[in-house]
Amino acid sequence: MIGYTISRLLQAIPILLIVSLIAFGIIHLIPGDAATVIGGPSATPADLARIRENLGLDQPLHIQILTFYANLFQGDLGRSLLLGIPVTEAVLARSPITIGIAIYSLVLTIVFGLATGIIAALNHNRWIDQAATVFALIGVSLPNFWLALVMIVLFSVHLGWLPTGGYVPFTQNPIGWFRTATMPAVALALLQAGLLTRITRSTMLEVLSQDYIRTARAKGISEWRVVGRHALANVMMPVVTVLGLILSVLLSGSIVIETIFGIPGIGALLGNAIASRDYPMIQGGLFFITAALLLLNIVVDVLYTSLDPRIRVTGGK
Amino acid sequence: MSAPLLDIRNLSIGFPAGKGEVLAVNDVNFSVAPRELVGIVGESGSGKSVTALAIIGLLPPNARVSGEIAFAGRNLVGLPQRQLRGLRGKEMGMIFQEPMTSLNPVFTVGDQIVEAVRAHEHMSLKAARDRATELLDKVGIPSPRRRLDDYPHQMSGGMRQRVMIAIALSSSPKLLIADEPTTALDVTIQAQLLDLLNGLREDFGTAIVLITHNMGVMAEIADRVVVMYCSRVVEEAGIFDLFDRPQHPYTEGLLGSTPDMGETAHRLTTIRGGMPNPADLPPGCLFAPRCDKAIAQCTTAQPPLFELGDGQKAACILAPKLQTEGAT
Repeated sequence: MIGYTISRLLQAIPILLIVSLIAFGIIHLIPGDAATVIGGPSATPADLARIRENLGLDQPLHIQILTFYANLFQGDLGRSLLLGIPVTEAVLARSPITIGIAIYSLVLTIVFGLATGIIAALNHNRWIDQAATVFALIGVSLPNFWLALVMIVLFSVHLGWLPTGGYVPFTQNPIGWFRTATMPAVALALLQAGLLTRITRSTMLEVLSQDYIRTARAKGISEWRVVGRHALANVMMPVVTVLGLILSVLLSGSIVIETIFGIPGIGALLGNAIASRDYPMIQGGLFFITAALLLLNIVVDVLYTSLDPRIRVTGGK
Repeated sequence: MSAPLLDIRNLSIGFPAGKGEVLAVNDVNFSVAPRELVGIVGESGSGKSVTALAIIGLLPPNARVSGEIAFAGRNLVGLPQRQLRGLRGKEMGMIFQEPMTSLNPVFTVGDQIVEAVRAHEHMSLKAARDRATELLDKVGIPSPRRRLDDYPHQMSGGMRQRVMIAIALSSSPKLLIADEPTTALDVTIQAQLLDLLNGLREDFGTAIVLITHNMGVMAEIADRVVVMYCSRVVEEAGIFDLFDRPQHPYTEGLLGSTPDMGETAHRLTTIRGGMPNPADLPPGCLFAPRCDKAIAQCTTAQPPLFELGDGQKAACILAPKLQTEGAT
């Protein structure tokens, strides 16, 4: 198990470097650069050239990426052009906000998705099942930014229940945190919950038709126990597999959602960085998100092996 | 004969199919005495497994059941699931055809036996584990204490079937239903398991309903055999009568298609054709289209199950015993 984890962590390193390279290439495909943003509309070409020279933007691209890698191995992700503070510092300051909302959203996704999927499967082909299927389809089809806007119109503008945006740290005021974090979390969760409902429903239906479920029933244990223990333990495996996928969509979705709700998380940080061509910030922010996703996927895989004894043996202890 | 433990009367089980209903079990009668081993034979689709599932109350919810399944004097048909659950695993246990898939892959076998033990009896985890060890030992698994912590995939098919038997026996049931318990296993393992079942009958005083399509298996351990064909019972007889004087041509056919080592090699006889489509049954005797002896009368009316003496019954108007009795 430990050997497996270490080898997965080592495999993640080349992936990170390649993703950084791709990100670097894409960033430089965006028209305009940081110098025009910093210099403003009144800057002369001479000013721009000076700014570029200061920032190292006049260097050839391959030198720039090699410089990035060289600094990276020293633990230095550079300094934000706009904020003037180290990228690492900016990311670490913002990440708790994003992580908090992501966890909230993940909890909503799992609770709602699992429950709906299981209830649908237990009521196979009845109206509850059909309602759940329709709900899942809607969840999967709705763009989350649209949902976010509709929720703002409904709950903030018309009903006035929740603020339209902003953010209150949990440590300062938990109720305030819930008031500001709920709509973003729900907007992010709905699509995932739809996805999870579908997977849970189909897996549960398949598991319920297995021979070992019949064995469990033949023991005379309660139906609750048959479903909640024997079936659920087997349903959890595919569900955990898609957790990695769900987490990646949660994090990438946060860029748009945080911008809509004015939440100062990593998503908004990255969104602003892209708008202002803050190259080190974009590069560093993407590096952090990639690293986080890789790490989460490794956690999911390790968790998976501990759920399924058959994999545990072949995967080595 | 003592009062039967299980008494099935006019049992019919239908499943919705299209607009109508298809009968998987049609007016079946038989009984099982305490400690008796009754075999049910028949081809796939003859209704034997559905009968077994009906006894233990595990039919799919869309099944329509009529008739009577009296178990220890209580009719199980129409009983609410909650009460059936109290019987399942306690008064009756069941083992299935597929040992490879019948155990939950994510729990240890000990866990699964302990669950069965504790399902109907309040006891500490430790006591239940001791009981599980004892059960594994009884079903012939070496070093049972260590095996408790194995997962099903670490065991062979024969071992898993032994674990299934241990689960079924966890609370010393009065009745054990074994649905083709050896079909998926090697021949050597088959014989061991049959021995085991037979031994348990003596140790636990359990009556067994053994479902198989293998006449050889029947010959080895059954007391009495019920032959099913196309949802109906066509013959019922003690094991010796059945092998020596089969009264229904279908039984004869089944016996004829079993390889026999005692005689010089000859071609196996087969029963020609296949079972009729249950949604489109012929009038008269259901076996008539495949029967070499069929006469015109066979295709007009469904023959009843004639009592032929010595507990033998057959649903054939041409049953030899019927002819001799008719003559006298």
